[in-house]
Amino acid sequence: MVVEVLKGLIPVFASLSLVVIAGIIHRFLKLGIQTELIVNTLRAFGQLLAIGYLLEYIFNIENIFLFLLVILVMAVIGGNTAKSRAPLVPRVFIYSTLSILCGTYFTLGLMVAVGVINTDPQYIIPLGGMLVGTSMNGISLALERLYRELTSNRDRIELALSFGAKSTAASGGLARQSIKAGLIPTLNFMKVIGLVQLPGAMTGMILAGASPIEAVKIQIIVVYMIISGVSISVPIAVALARNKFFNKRHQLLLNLE
Amino acid sequence: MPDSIIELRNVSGKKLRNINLPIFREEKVVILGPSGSGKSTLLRYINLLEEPESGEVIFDGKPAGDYYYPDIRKRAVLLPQLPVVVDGTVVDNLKWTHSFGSEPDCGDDFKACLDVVGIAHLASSPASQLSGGEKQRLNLAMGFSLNPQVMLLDEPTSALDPASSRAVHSAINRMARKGVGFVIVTHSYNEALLLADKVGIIIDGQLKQLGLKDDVLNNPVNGVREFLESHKDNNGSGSS
Repeated sequence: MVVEVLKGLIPVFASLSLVVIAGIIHRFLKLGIQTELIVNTLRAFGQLLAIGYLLEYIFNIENIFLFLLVILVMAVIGGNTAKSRAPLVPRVFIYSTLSILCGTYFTLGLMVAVGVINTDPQYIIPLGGMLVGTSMNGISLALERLYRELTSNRDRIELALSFGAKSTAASGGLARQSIKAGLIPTLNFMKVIGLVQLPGAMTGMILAGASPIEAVKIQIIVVYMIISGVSISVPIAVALARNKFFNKRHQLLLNLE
Repeated sequence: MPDSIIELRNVSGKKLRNINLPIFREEKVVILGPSGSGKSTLLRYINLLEEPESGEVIFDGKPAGDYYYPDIRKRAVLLPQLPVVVDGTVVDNLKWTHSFGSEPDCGDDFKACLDVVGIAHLASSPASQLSGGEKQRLNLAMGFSLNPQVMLLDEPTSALDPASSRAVHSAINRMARKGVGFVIVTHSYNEALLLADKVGIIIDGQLKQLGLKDDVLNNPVNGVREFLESHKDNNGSGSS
């Protein structure tokens, strides 16, 4: 069994030669990142191998609730990553996780409901993973921007409050800027898709033997799902987080000196 | 004696200790005190941007907590020490002021409000290109356009040259003649001398003396006398 697994990994080990080349280049350029390269190479190997075996196991169980649970776990990890990128935003972990789940479950649910995809694990899990990943990135960018906008525009927000604005109105423009900041990478990705690089899902399908036209069809669906997921999750995260910066008396709650 | 429109009653918090300050209609109160004595916090409490740790802020005889804050903040608008302008022209800034649901009181072109502060000729200029004093007067016009009972000013001339300061003082006096009250915090003795009906002195977070300008400046109590003497010397030019 172990021997078979190792035999199956021979091409993978062969491709390690590329990492060795990368390492030589890094060393030649004196970049000082050899340790990082080794650690990350091992991480990528370990993480992907582990998820491969886990997915193999899950795919055989074929229980939709288990798939949803897997997406929940991904969302929790995504929420934790968002927390590390925007640590000063209150309750960032719980709000990010909730928002990621809203965007992901809604988008998957709608696609299943209209019959575009079915509940087979080979659809739900990878598509869910992509939705979680893009939402996580969008939310991280948006919340980091929100905090920056609120702190750097504190005087303007408080002037608006002083003029009788509600907290939502006083910070509305800044919240919109933050949401845009979270969506722009996805919009840019859509703009150049297929021109600059072939996206991962499509590449994977073609490598696995699917026809390019089939791969493209799926990729188009994936792109539309991603923009839907991120357009749902980012505004929810920004709205939830923004509300934590104000109290019910419409006072701005930034740490004052 | 008329009822106060706004009153701080036994207010404490941050550096402030047990402040009692009634504010009456059409009155200019100048609060003098050294930097870091809690003057700005006092204005934030009146405008309800912050809550005191104890004591009450009273509006028309009722505690502030009985009101919906966005409804009453306009009665006592707070303008920041460094003026804030948004993108666009001077008139765009006035439109922004009224984008939160209040009706302007000085015509659709805001001319009357700009006239009061003496910058009507700049109506279509980009706000970002105004001088510091002009921006300060634009902020005054923005506050004035909301028809407040009181305007709360935080060191309105501390960053201005003497000519710009005079223009701001004239604008304040013109608005006062139109029935607006003022609470102005400053460390400038001159500003108190020029603008005040009443003077309050805050030292170490306590309102040591409050009264008519002449009474306070001519008959200061112990502790206040030394503070005033030292500020007369530097002519209140904002050196601290």
